[in-house]
Amino acid sequence: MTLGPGEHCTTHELSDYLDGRLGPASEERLRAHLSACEVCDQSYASLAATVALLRQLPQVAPPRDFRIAPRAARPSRAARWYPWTRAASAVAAVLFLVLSAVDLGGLATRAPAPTLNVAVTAAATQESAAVAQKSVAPPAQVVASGAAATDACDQTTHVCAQAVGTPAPLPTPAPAPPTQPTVVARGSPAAAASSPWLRPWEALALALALACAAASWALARQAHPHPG
Amino acid sequence: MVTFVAQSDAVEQAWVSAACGGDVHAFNALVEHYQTLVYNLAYRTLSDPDDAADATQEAFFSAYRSIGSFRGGSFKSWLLRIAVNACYDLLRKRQRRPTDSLDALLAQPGGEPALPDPAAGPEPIALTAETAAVIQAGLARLPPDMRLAVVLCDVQSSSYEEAAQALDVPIGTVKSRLSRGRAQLREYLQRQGELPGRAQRP
Repeated sequence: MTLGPGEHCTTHELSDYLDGRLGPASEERLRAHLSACEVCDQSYASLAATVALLRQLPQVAPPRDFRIAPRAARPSRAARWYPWTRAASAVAAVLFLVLSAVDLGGLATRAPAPTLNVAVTAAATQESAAVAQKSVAPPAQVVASGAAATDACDQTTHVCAQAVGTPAPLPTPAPAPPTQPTVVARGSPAAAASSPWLRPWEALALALALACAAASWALARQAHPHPG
Repeated sequence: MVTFVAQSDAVEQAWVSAACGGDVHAFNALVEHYQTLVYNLAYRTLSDPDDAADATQEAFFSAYRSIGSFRGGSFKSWLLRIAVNACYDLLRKRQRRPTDSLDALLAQPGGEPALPDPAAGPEPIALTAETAAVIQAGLARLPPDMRLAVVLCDVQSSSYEEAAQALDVPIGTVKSRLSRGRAQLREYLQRQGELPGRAQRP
């Protein structure tokens, strides 16, 4: 900052000088200018007086206590519902995926393919037939209950196809010859008669998943508005 | 003194951690510690005790709701930023509510309705209630951006850095808002006879 004979400091410079925010060199030059220029010196004095008045403004006592009542601090209704809608959304999404996988499985095996290799039983072929029978039973039960159908789908699309069909008698694994793959189940013709479009159950699950996701999003916004 | 500050910092850190975990009592300890600061920021910015109380309450509710998003650093700066936002919200609301204009508020006799905080101790230089009211009226006439910079830096003695965080602007912006705000306020105080006559500027 170099000021000529007729020039004056800007308010910005004086303000920074007041706060000690000019560099040492600029500060020295400004101090020299103030001692030579009455206009700037007066301007600086009045600015400093303004700040001094502001600093003297008394602190006022808050009119009430702003502590939050523990009752009011309970999570809002939105915050309480949020985990449930989020979980419901996830469950519905998984259900949709399972149903879709099952349906796709049914489409893929529309052509009759009565025998299937099951990894579990294939691994068991070296062992006795009794052991093989035992290891096949759990997947069959799982599929019948329809809970973890996706796991089974990877290996036995056919068994999955049965899951969407009418409840069939629980497949009873035949005692496997040690070197032959085990026959797990036979295709259900009802399952193969599927349309390429979403089935009502799938559409329902998808709609449920989307609706719950939308609700979660809305609740999250309501429960946690971002400051600023 | 240094030990005391370090200790109170540690205590505050403990309160903040507990409050982040949902401890409302720890959060209330922070409220107790900061409510005078936040209320005074709101009062000097809004010039109205009721609006200031509303903004303060909203700021603390908002802080409680979003304490989970506090990512370390200065709790005071984080809280001031929420308080600044609450003040801006109230200013916007007031614009939509033209019936009680600022001039009506400031025309109240006495001007300075809130009482000085007895806990604040004696002022180094006594400022008369009239002068305080004139300064407050001058603050109220500043554009909100300049007003908040002046209130934070000059009334509350925040550093530029703290004010920059609270206002969510660069330090250069704080400096320019502050200098323009100071200059406008100076002219107002000179017109009101609270400062010696205006310097003869070219």
